[in-house]
Amino acid sequence: MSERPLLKLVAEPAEQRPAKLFCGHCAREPESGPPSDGGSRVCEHCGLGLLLGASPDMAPTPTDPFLVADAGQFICAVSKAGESLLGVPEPEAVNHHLNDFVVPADLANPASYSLSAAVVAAATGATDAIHIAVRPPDTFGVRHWAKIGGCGPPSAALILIAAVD
Amino acid sequence: MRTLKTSEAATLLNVSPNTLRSWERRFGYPRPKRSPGRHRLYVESDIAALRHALASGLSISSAISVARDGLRGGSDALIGALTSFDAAAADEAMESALGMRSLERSVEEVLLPSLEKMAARCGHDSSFWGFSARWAGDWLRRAMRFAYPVTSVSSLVIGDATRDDCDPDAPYLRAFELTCVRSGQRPLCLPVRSTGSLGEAAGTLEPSAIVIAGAYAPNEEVARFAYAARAASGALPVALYRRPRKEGPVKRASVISLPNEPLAAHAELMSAMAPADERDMERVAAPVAPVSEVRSA
Repeated sequence: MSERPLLKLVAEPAEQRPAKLFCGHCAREPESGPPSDGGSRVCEHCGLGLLLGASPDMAPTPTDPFLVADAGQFICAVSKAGESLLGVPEPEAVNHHLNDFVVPADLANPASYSLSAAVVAAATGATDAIHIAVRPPDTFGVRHWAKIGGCGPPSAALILIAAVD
Repeated sequence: MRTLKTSEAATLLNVSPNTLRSWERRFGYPRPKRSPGRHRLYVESDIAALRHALASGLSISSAISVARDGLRGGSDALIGALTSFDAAAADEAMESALGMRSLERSVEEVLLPSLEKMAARCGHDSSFWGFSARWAGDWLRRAMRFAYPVTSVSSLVIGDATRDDCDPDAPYLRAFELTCVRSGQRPLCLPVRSTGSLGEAAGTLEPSAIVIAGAYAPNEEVARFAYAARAASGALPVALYRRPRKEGPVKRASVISLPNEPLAAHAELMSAMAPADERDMERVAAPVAPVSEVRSA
């Protein structure tokens, strides 16, 4: 019989943080709590967005401009603040590619090339948020920070946009 | 086409009538018709398609986009029509699908997946499934009647081992039959219990293969059918379509298991039949397989 122990101590799995719900358009939290099974996911405040969940450090506030994109990097939702920032209403942005609205700003930095990879990773369930500098596709000299993490259901990438200080 | 009042549509979508009207203003959808008294009347299949899209959407805009695309030919429109028991709207959804796809692809990509979703959502014992399966059977039979005339001398005997039109395998069998007809073959589909005078049918058609389709009929009945068909036509290849193969100690190489999708099943059957056709002249003298061999099916 081997002297080696049969049981091995392994690290505890990462603790699942409870998702914070927000409206995909106005970003407000539902007052009535999470929707019940089969209940409506339509925001009770604005009626123009569906309730999504994200980790508390990713969940946006009503003043945060943000986009929601799927694993194919197509826009699925644009927040009210996002519409003002990008100058496009959500119905016109939906189904367009993310790169029609934001592209990596710092091409000298190889990490910037990972915008697509970060969106795909977030949309397919990666848990860690990633920060990437982005700019509008046809404008130079304007830079934003994009904080990219997961949201859902269904699983998608949440792209919070903030001005670079 | 069934219509709903604003309050009824809002209830189905689980939103307020004001929200529904605000969607109409912002997204232009769902766009209601007007009653003679100028009241909004929503088409039920529009609302059902939107409800389905909202359940798995990321935003109202994307759900509306999905519902609209669905109405242009996807399965959401068909599901919407089937959940509202609207055969005319279901026909319309298939017409739209046919505008963008071939008949075979419309059946494989729209009709059959919609039925699968209906079954998963409502169950095979629900009235939704009963309506959907019967509508699909009628639609596929109609499509078969309008298919171009048979051009090939090749024909098949299909043993229908499904229970009835509401059997989960029945739409797949109809779709397989349609694929055969569209590829110029002549299928003769008979219930597996119809073994009497099978020799006359086989003598008229001179089939190249026997296909047993469906999982409902018991093995004994299927074996009797296959034996009768082979006794009448010679040692034809026997293929199983949507029928699990009985596992036993001895593997029967003479029985072919076809894939579940009608197009793939037809393609595989064709490739299996090709050498059989080449041996066609020798087939007359070929001995009939013993009943024990086909019983393993």
